[in-house]
Amino acid sequence: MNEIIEMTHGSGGNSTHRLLERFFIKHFKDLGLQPYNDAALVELDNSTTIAITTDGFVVNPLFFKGSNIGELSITGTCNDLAVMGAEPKWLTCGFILGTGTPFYILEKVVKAMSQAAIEQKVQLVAGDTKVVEHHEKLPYILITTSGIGIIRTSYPWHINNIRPDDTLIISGTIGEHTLAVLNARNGWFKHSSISSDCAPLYPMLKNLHSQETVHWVRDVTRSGLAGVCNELSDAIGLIVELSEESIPISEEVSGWCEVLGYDPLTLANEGKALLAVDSSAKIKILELLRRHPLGKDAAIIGELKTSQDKPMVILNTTIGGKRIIPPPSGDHFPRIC
Amino acid sequence: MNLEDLKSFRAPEHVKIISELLAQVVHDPLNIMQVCGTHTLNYHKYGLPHLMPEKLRLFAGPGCPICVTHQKDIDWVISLIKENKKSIIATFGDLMQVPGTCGKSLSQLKDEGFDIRIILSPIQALNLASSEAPKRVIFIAIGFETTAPAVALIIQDAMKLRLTNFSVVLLLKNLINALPYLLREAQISGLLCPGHVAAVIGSKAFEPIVESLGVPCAIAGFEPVDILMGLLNLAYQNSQGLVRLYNVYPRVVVKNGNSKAKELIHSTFDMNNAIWRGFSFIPKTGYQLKKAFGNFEIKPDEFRLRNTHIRQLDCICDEVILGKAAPTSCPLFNNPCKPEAPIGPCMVSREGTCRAYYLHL
Repeated sequence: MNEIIEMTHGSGGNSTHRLLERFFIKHFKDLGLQPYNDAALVELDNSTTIAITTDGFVVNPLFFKGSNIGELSITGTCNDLAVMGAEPKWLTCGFILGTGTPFYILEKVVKAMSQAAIEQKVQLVAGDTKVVEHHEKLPYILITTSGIGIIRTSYPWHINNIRPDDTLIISGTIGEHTLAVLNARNGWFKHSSISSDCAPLYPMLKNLHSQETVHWVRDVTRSGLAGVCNELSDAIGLIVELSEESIPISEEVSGWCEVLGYDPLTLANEGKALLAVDSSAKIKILELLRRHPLGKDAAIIGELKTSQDKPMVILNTTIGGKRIIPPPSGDHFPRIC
Repeated sequence: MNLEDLKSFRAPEHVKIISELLAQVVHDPLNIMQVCGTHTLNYHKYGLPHLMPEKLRLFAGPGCPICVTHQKDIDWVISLIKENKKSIIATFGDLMQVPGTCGKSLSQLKDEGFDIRIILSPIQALNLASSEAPKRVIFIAIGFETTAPAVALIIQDAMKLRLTNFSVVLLLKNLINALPYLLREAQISGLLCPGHVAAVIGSKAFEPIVESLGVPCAIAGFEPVDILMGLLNLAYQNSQGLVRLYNVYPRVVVKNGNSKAKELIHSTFDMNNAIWRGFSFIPKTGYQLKKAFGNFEIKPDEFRLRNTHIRQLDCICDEVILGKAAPTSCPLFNNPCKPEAPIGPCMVSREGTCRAYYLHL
């Protein structure tokens, strides 16, 4: 009776998963819910399958180095579609606006959305606005966007296609987004150049549409690489083995993480994809990714393995050690000293 | 030291050589205590358990400032925050999640609307007092000898600036004076001593520890090679029957420590008794401001001093920090005590033993 929603339920970590299981999967599972992918697939006829998804954006502050809530709300939903092998086509948006939010702030957010939609060649075809009472004199804007895309691959990239010896490839460096947001929120390092990696994945991923050796792709957002790999391992019952040395991390992100005591694997990204590909084609896929500017730092970071043990994520550390990567708890409190 | 030099302390080839040597030196079972929470954290972060000889057992000690903070102190801080609704509370991130006996943490108070700010350095608390004046800023200072000089510095600055809206709560603790009390019953074959504390107080300050505990001690740094060098030293001392203090972190630690930092501590604080989780009072391990600075300190009231043996639920953090029990033997470990819903401080802090076990084992 005393249980209530707390901030950790929104972290994307363990608490979020328990919440999903306890309410949403329990009641929606017979209604066609497709968990464990970024978007659901609906077959319209023999020649057309669509991907459909929805996402909420509650970032605080609304503006931070490299991006803002408006751009995120378009890019995030388009990315969820793109990682299924779809071309994002139509979006809808819903706004919850707090009283006291200045008009000029709303103008900036909506303009950023419009620019992002034009750049990503998607249409914003419907929307809704609601206003709620907000007592602080602070901007308060929450956005949800839903999107539909058309599958352009011969088979959608789907978790069911994964094979036990697949290779894992990440499309670029990790950790920038969370650090940019936390820095904007707390003002820790005023002169840092760290900037959100928010970027559309579709232009890079469309180069892989003809490659049937790509089995599954995931947008590495909330809960980071650690969270996505744990979900993957859980869903398919395999060991995910990562090589720490191969994971691309910029010097600035790793420096910040040392100072703040964060694990870069648990930080969110807004323009990075994790791919499971046939191991025989890993070099070819890597080269195709690197041909696009967004994929210039793409790297092979690990592989899937069968094991007698329970499914888990293992990191082979740079010094030759091993450690288990647990699902992140979702908090980002810096260390004491 | 530049970044390239630091990399050599993380070089796989160096790690390999030292772990092979370590395997050759360890013959009998060894129980080594890592005093410092950062040793525990990095030991797991770099995957060192995988490289250890079977007979070498490492366990964490009382060196995480959050873990040794008594629940009575947390309760007191929570009541203080509630009494000072209009003030800004500044503190370090780790303190945010520790629940008091009431079950509430600072993080929950923040969600309820109290103005609690996470800072990375004490100077940020002082800057808040200047920029947010006339609002009152209360800085909850927590940490060991490593943090005390920075806290001393801002109190001296606050004095020079004649700030009237700045107060400090001192939960700081002196580790070196506490070690003989905390570890007198511990069954250990060696002590991996904290390099950062030693950088401030000097290696010399650890000599009495060797004498009073009668176990080999090695002051070590925090990179994988530093940790392994410390362990190799302790294993070697055990194999040769030596009981000495060695400084294997000479690039940072010198015999007399950092004289400026020590002078700051001595000119700002007097030592008093402090309550430690799992140990009640230990003399000369707490800090209070010298009379000249007295106005800046909020001192605990009487209620904190009673019932210090209180323990919440079945949490055995008090035994864990003394190395008497492993986290896995706690009835609450992993269910329900987890990093996202911690009950004991050892699960709250990233330096905490339970958290390190949960995350990396």
